[in-house]
Amino acid sequence: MTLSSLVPNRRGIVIAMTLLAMPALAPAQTTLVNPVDKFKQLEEILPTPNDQRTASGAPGHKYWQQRADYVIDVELDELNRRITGKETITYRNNSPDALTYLWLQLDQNLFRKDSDTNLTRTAPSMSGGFRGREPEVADPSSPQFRGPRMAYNSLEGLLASMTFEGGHNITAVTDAKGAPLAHTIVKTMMRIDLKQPLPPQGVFVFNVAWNYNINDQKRLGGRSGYEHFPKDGNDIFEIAQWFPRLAAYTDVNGWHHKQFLGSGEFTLEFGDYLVRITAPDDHVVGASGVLQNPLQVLTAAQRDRLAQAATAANPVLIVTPAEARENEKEKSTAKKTWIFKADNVRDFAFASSRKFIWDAQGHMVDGNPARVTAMSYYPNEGNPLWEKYSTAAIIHTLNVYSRYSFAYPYPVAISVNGPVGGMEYPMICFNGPRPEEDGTYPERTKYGLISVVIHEVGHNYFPMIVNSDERQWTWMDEGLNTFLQYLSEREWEDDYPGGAEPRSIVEYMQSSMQDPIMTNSETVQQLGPNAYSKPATGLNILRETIMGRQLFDMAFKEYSMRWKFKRPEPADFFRTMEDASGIDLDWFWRGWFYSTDHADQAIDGVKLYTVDTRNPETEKALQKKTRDTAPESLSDQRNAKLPKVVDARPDLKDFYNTYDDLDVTERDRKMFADMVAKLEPKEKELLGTTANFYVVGLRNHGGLVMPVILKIDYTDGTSEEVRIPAEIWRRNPVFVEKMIVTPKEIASLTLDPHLEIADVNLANNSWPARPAKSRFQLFKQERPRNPMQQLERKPAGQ
Amino acid sequence: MWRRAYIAALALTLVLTPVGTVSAHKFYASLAQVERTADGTLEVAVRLFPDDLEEALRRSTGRRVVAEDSKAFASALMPWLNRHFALDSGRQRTTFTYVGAEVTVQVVWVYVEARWPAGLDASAMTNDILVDLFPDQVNTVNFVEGGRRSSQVFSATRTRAERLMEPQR
Repeated sequence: MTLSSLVPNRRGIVIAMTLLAMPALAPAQTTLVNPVDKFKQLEEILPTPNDQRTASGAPGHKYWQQRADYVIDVELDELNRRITGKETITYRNNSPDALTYLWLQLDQNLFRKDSDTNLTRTAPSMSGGFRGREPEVADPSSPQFRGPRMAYNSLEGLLASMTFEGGHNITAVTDAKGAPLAHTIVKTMMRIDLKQPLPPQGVFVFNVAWNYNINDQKRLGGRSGYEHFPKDGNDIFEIAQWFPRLAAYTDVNGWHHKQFLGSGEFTLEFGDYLVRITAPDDHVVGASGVLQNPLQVLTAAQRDRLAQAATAANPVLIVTPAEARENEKEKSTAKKTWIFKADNVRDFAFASSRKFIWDAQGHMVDGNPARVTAMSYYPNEGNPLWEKYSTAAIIHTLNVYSRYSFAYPYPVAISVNGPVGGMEYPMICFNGPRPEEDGTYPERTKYGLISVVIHEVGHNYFPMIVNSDERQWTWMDEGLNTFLQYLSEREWEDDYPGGAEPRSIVEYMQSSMQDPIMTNSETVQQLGPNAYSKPATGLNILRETIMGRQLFDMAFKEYSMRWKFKRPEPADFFRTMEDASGIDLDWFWRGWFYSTDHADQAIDGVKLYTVDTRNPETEKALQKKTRDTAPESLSDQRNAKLPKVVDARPDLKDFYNTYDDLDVTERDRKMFADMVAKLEPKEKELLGTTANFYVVGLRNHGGLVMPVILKIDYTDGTSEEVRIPAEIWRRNPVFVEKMIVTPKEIASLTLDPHLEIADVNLANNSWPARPAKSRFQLFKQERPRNPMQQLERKPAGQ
Repeated sequence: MWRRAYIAALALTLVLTPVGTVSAHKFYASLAQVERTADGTLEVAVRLFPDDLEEALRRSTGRRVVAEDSKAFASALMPWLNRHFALDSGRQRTTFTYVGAEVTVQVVWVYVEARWPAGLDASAMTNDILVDLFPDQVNTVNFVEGGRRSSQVFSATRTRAERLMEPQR
């Protein structure tokens, strides 16, 4: 067989190539598909650059944002579990527009009985009977039969939400002189109508007074609330989204008054806060910002300990576990006012309880002008985990995140243990994990705590400082933060559990029911993988496989620095990552963020060519060998035994009965000699090439274009890895061929050998084909079959 | 925030939740791989969050079940799983048997199998894993049979799929 594929050299002389028979998959039909969609620039998808946002992804020369400064007096009424507050807001209109009204957010209205959240809640599952197609024989005594039922907690939560009188009661809205201002409450938003339009650069000062009942977080949910401890009769209060806040007004969306439904988080303005918190005088209060009156609210001993903590190498207890236990008994009705100041923050939260242990440690973050005080507040129920890990995890977070983005700009960073599982606010966050009552804890709880502290403290960077719009684009803070959380965990200890490894997202990627990442937060079907894991994994792939650490880290830091204390949009991130790295990533944004394609690359045919030496002695011998070793058909085998006429009558034979066209003739030899004589020395050398030319067919079944990482194992035991940029797919995103020229013989080929690209089907990644076992089969093959043995067996990792 | 932190009002516990329930993850999801082999066996791997699963088993059995305690875990798991995760075809309904489980810090993988002569094309599925506990729970199932693949997504508002191998929507 001599199918010749002709490879022209520079002078147009062709060298004949010989395709050798390979134990290969048949090369599949090549269909050329219009490749435009995969590598087309995102021009019409990204917004047109303007004076506020440049084409390079930076803030433009006319970038602006509004500002709102707050002075707030608030009282925590412990007995009635109620917040009462009044605030003076100074609103600066930095936009080029005159504003005729202002919008404020009233997040507590989420808890009103008539809130959209409550009204649009769909029926809970009653999980009864056999739903859908009913089996003809339904045996009520069978374990598979269920009567209608409702989970105990569902019922309890439902009843609680029906009786809880939640929501902001607005008691006064007045201007700076105390004159009432017309206002209209629209669910979780409030509009204040201005008597005169607020001109560009104008400042408007006004007052709001309000109160609300605090939700029982453990029954009603929410990102804040109280937790009651029946044993000692005390509560932990985690107070957030508690004061009427200015809605954002931006160049992109105007007023951001999309209703608060609970899933999408916030869009907020920066400002300075002075907050006076009045609480029972035996409470310990922690808040966004720096305590202004330690002389009034702390004991001399506590002030000494704080001073000592500033330069300590380990956390110093400001309130000890024993002191917290003593406090639990007091139940004081006297009051004390704690004053906090927080500059350039987009929100303010606090926590208050007489159950709190309090520890602190000053820490100099690399590149910071001043020390940051890392602090944790937790009840005795949180130990021994909290005293060991919370403040240490805060400091670790500041170190790692500052390296990848910017130095932490705030004076304090706080982690609080209470009812909320994990929620972030500026300088303060709420984290849920606690040990068992006996003080022991499973491994999961330990790493759960460290991870959630890293995650929530990490949110200080995204979105508290890089102030993306959480209500619209959850991935911009959760995806980026989960990615940095993953990097931080890698630096906590070797083999830290979990992570953003591409192989962990394969099951999600292959499911056909997904929304693109670039989908509004409230309408995403599977918000978890969509806004956390998939973007975080995508950034990890960009960093490790597509851009490389150096380019990625530089571009990511540039994005962070550009948008620190400003408000980026998705396009600003996409553009900056390209602009700073010099790498065209539009194909990646298009595939990973704007589509639901997945990676599934396959080896589809391998062909081997060698150079045709043109020497009849070599080539004809080779051809003879091929012919003579070709399989003999069954008919030929059977027919061979039949008596033949020419054997009986040899006189019927002639020249052609002995002629073999593969015998080398004198004429062949002369022609070869003549040809060689005419070649230049370089051409003679080429003709003597003994290399193997492998052509590997690569098929993209999944649609997502990704780099091709190919491991080549040779028969001599050596191996090498070829890393091909995704642009190999730019002319045909479905099927391409890659040539490998080597003096060696290839034993096997493996695509994505390090599981870098989240390839969902490994069964077609090898040549020769290797069956890929499913997770189930891999597990079962390593395990004993016998169910009794199974039951006795310790679980993996134990 | 971590998704674990916000749960709509229906989904929370007060007295019955042991102190120490952990938010080791940020959202509510399970993911199952269901492969029907040529010899008519369903090979199933289900990935769940251990704390959510433990809470469900506690409610189902009335006692605390820890995933790491493999014996108690397996016996609590199987009746629960067979109630909430089943294929059916005609009068037949799956009863899965336990093959094993892998418990890691973040997830638990549960492996079960069942004889299932009916092909996936002739089967329907009911999957309401954890939707009674967590209204935001989303259960994804990837089906594989003879090289064909398909996915179905189940949630509180969709606990049943009639045509497993056809595109959803």
